[in-house]
Amino acid sequence: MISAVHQFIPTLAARSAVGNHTLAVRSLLEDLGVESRIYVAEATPEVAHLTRPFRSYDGAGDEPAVLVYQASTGSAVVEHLLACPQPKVVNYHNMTPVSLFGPWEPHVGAELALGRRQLADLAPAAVLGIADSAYNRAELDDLGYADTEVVPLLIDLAAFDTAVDRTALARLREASGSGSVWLFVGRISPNKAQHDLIKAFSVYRRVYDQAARLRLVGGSSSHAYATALERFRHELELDGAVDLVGEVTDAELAAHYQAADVFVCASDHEGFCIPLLEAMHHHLPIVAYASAAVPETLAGAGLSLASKAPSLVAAAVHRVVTDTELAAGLVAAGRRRLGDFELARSRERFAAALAPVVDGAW
Amino acid sequence: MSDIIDFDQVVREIEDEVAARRASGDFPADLERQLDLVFARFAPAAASGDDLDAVLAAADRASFVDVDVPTGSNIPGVAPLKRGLRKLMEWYLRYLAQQVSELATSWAAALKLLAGRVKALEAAGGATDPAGDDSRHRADPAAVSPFESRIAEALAGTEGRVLVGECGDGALVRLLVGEGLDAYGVDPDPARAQSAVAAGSEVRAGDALEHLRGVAEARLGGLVLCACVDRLALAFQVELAGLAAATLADGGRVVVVSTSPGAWARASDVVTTDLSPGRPLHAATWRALLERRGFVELADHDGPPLVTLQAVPPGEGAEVLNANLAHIEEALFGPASYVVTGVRRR
Repeated sequence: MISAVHQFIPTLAARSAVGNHTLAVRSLLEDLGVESRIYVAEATPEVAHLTRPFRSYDGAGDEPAVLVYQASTGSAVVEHLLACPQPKVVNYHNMTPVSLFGPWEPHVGAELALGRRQLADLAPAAVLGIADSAYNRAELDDLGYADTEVVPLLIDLAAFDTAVDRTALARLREASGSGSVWLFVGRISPNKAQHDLIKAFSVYRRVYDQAARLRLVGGSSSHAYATALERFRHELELDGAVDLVGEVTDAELAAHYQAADVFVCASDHEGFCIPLLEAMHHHLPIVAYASAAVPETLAGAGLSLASKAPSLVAAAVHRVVTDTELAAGLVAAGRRRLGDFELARSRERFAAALAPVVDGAW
Repeated sequence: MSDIIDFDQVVREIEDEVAARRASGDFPADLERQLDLVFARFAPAAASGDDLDAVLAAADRASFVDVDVPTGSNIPGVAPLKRGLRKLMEWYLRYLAQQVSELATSWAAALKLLAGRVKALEAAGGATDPAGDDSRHRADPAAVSPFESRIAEALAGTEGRVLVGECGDGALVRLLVGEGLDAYGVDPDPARAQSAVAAGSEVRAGDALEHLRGVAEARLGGLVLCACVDRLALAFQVELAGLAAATLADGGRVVVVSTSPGAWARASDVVTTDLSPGRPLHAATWRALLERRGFVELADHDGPPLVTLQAVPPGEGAEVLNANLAHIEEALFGPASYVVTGVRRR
């Protein structure tokens, strides 16, 4: 009988989607009365005390456990995991295609390529693949995973209810002036295509609203890409209109959502895209390019564009900020969609997906 | 409130508005390309997509190695130290940088020459119109409808996933799922794929050939190829046959639905046929391609004729006339389409 379900993750990072999900899974397993530890290659200081080095797990032992791998990049963790005899479950959060990241950060590209190879290596060893979107599940199916399930990320929607930083909000509103405010939240990263947002915003300023602002909130995952964005912004004479905000506190993030008129996403690749849910929570209408898992996460609760031609994105944003009935409709649709991600429901689904492989542990 | 707003309809209205503004000149024709080119100046060559000119320009820029190392620092005393090191190392770095720059410049020049020759070859080889609307070359997936029952019969009892590429609005996928198969589809038109998803089909936006290239060995139980086989260049059609052999498991079924070459050549839209990158193959050619790749139980069936000539009513000489009409119908028009089926043996 299985007595433990341990998780393995390359990097456990506080305030990251996969990191929070991993912690939520551990909390779920503990509530179910199953021993659960988190093994990592690295961890950020805030959560390091919750982890153990992955090599400290004695794979050769005969512990009746199931090992869950949180897959989002390449890592030495996989080799160790494959050497363990215990049944394995892959919880897949997708990996950015190498073609999007590699040209900007070759070392990250190599890591992602390794991750995709490892994902294939894990296929014959995995008794179950859990994907957080049908889009991700399709990749597992194509790789030959025998049994797959879709379970959303375990997200505590209540955590979106952070107190707003009032000072920051006042400052943002003052800076916005009379123009409409576009917002995108996500790391500065080639797959999130912030440069395409700047292109669309440039058209928007030229055609519809010369006082508009674009705020790009999030830390950088690529120095080369961030530098290119700064130069691009400067070349288009948008230094005063496009803010590369960087990392913010939760309270400042809430202020950014409140100070914006529309959430715009032009990502080429998203495995799930939690900021879409944050935008829904903060009652922001959404305009998004329908790529990867974005249409699935939105499920109709936003204007979903088949192309991200700058003029099309600009026209769509213009329609949303000038048509109050449409904006209200989008916000209402977003609120309904959020209900599908209630933590209690996702926890039930995760437990149900794992149940067949834990041999009656709960 | 959103119950009365059709967001898809709103998007269609926005698309129409953009098309109208483009036509009126509100959105200058080259505005978007100019923005692409500006960003390409700051992007690495490999991130410039498939725009050859942009890639060459990026390679050109990257061929210069800057030895003027930044020396700023937030740590007190480090900036002067860096400046000192730079001064000390300058002769060495400059020597190396000059050689690297020369090498890179030579490569960039060679690439430009190569690009020029490729362009000349493309022009001589009659490549398709790069500015053309690709959607015109996409065949109508509705052409599958006369074969629906035959496809369902050929795939009956298939175990494993069944891929339909290209599946258009997903009607065939829904039909196969209704028959109890684990079917999904791929279509290159994102809007069409999205509407198929909205109609309840598992359909992904993408190119059938590209998708098959990513499918693992012997992963599929069934494969239906339609529409793409009417327009892909010959080399890609041959590759499709190879991919069918690679991706189908033992006992997996393949179905190819194609327009007959004769009917295709007589298609009313001559611009589309003239500019299409490829032509449909004959059923016998598909059989040969599949047989050489390990398929057995191959069969082909014609669809309804392109044109049906009216028969002469019974009377003197009618029998002879009708027989001749049948010959003429066969010679001039023939069947509009055909289906080839086979089973993979490993």
